[in-house]
Amino acid sequence: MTHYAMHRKAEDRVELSAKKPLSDLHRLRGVWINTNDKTRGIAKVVLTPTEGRLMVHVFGICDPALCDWGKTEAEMLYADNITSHYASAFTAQYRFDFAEIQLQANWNQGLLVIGTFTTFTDSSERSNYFSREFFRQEGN
Amino acid sequence: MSSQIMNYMRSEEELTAASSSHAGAIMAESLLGTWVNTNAATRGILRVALTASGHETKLRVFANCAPDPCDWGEVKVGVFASDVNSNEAMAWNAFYDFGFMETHLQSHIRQGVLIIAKFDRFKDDSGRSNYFSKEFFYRV
Repeated sequence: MTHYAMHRKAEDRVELSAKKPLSDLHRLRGVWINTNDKTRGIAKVVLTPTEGRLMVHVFGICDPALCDWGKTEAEMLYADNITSHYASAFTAQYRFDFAEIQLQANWNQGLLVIGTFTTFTDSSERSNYFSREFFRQEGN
Repeated sequence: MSSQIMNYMRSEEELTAASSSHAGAIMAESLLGTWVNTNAATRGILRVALTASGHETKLRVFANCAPDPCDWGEVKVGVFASDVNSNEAMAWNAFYDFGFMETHLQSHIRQGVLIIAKFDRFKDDSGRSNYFSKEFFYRV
């Protein structure tokens, strides 16, 4: 008799014997440069795997120099299906004294697609906003 | 407000003087309604319903399960504009915790299509990899 794991949609259904750890981070590693050289958002992102974890380092466009957001550890790594062990997406969070920024990134055909959900926590009356940008791996 | 010094980590987070009088409230009307998956054979999310409830926006998800769709129930969503100067929502995020797994949903509208990115994390010992997927929806 086949035993299936609990699921809330059919694509999550898998036999309990189909186990594989999510361990390969090579797709994400490296320096990722915005494909839009006129961006007013994120200029580049540096992703560094460390013992199964992923460190994220974001640089935003500021004047006159880039804004260094600092390093943060990815909250979670994701494969592109439930049986894959290749990490192809991640989430990360930055908390500044004026805003919280949730990053969601996924690898797609050699590009890194990063969506950011920015929630302002100051009294500036800026609208919380979403942005999505595309990044190429440096050297490619 | 215009004399206030605003912090930012990207140039796009600066509020322009022309829009500095807006109230900062984001209108969710552009998101509301029932959205159906463009892929009739999906094994993921079949449809979502976004409704206004007072000042909040609520989400209800129906996913492909056998023999009947799985009703994920209703949760509150966060709404986001396209930039800091806009009052019109074009993106949202939401979170479901089913005990054995949790799902972060991040969504935005592009050219009339609702794009939902799912970040699924399994908390059981089924051996399933956490995974990322994306689906597309049209409004009915």
